[in-house]
Amino acid sequence: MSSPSKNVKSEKSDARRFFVDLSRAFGGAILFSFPLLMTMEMWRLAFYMDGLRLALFTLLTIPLLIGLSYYDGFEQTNTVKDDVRGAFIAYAVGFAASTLVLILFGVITPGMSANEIIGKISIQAVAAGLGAMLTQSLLVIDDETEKNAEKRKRSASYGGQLFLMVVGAMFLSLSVAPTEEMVLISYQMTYWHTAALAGVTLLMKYGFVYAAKFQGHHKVHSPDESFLSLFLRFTVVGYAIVLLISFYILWTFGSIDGLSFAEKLKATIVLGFPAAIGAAASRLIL
Amino acid sequence: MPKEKSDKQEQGAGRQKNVPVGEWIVAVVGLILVIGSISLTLYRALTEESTPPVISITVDSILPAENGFLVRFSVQNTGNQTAADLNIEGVLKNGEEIAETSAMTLTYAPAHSMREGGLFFTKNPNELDLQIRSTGYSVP
Repeated sequence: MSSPSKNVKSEKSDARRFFVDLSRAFGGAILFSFPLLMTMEMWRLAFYMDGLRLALFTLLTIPLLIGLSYYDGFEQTNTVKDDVRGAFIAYAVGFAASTLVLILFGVITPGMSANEIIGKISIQAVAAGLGAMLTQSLLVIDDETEKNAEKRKRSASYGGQLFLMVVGAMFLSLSVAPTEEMVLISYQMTYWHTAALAGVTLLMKYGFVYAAKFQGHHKVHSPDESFLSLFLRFTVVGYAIVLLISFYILWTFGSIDGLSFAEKLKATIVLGFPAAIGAAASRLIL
Repeated sequence: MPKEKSDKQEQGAGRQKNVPVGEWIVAVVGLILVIGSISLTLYRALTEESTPPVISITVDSILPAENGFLVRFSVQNTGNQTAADLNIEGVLKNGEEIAETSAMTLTYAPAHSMREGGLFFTKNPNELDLQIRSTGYSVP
């Protein structure tokens, strides 16, 4: 900082570091979103999905990315401003990555209306933006960033842990949510199946929390916290979050439109299965 | 850069960090993309009436094909709603008499978009009266 030449040098290395970060984020965007980029329901959603729902989906991505940047972004952040900037960078990278891949796949061609093209890209950009932001944990990088994020993750408050559950639930459920199988599976299931699936999901979720307790991952609960407290505070609340996220995603994609309430609930519990795994494992995968 | 801020950054990060201009540029591009795509979809959602698909089909070319002829056409949907499983039927007429029919299904004809397809005939469409129309669709 004291000598001008040093300053120039550090600026140059900062710019190079940003370029490296950007390339890595690009890779992460594709790594996370390729299942969706290769799902035909996602291409088609763009022209039958409700515009308001798509706008809301994009809008909600931003606070999600900001929060994720705070806990686990692709670069070190110290201020809210850094996190906000990081969120928009991740979205831009996700948008660019989706555009490139969709053009390469011939999904976007001339003759399509601007609305269709923007719709096709922006629905993918959500997942790709998440991927760009998650890069730092997906592709392990320098120890410093890793330690920094790890520290934040560990010191995450109860609210912070719930937030990571939301991201984990979205992370795993997004890649299967748009497929027809979600609703098809729920058609195949009786209400007994559904109840059993919900039970198994809860049990599995508790298993993850229990295992994490012994590994000392959570600082929020003390080692001698009772079964009931642990179960209520993490497993039950976590599952409620998971079901809300599943329902929101199914509603966004219009998969459960026109179904009766009971059928909607069944599909939500089906999608809740991968979502719960994502939420429970959020400390492992994020 | 204010001295106070750089001190704080040095303490906070352990290493001092300048934000490269490129980083800001990419962030602003992201902001524009978010605002742009949200406002476009919102604008469409709020201003467009949900009018049914309006399908117009134009013949692009008639080519010789294996055992007959290929009629290539483009389908334009100028309505605000997408048509799924759009059935398209081509009829060759000799005066009032139907000489041959062919049909195909277009998986999707999205609103305000163009799609292409083709129909095969054994008789020469150039010598007969060719009519192509859509016969039905489902709402996706």
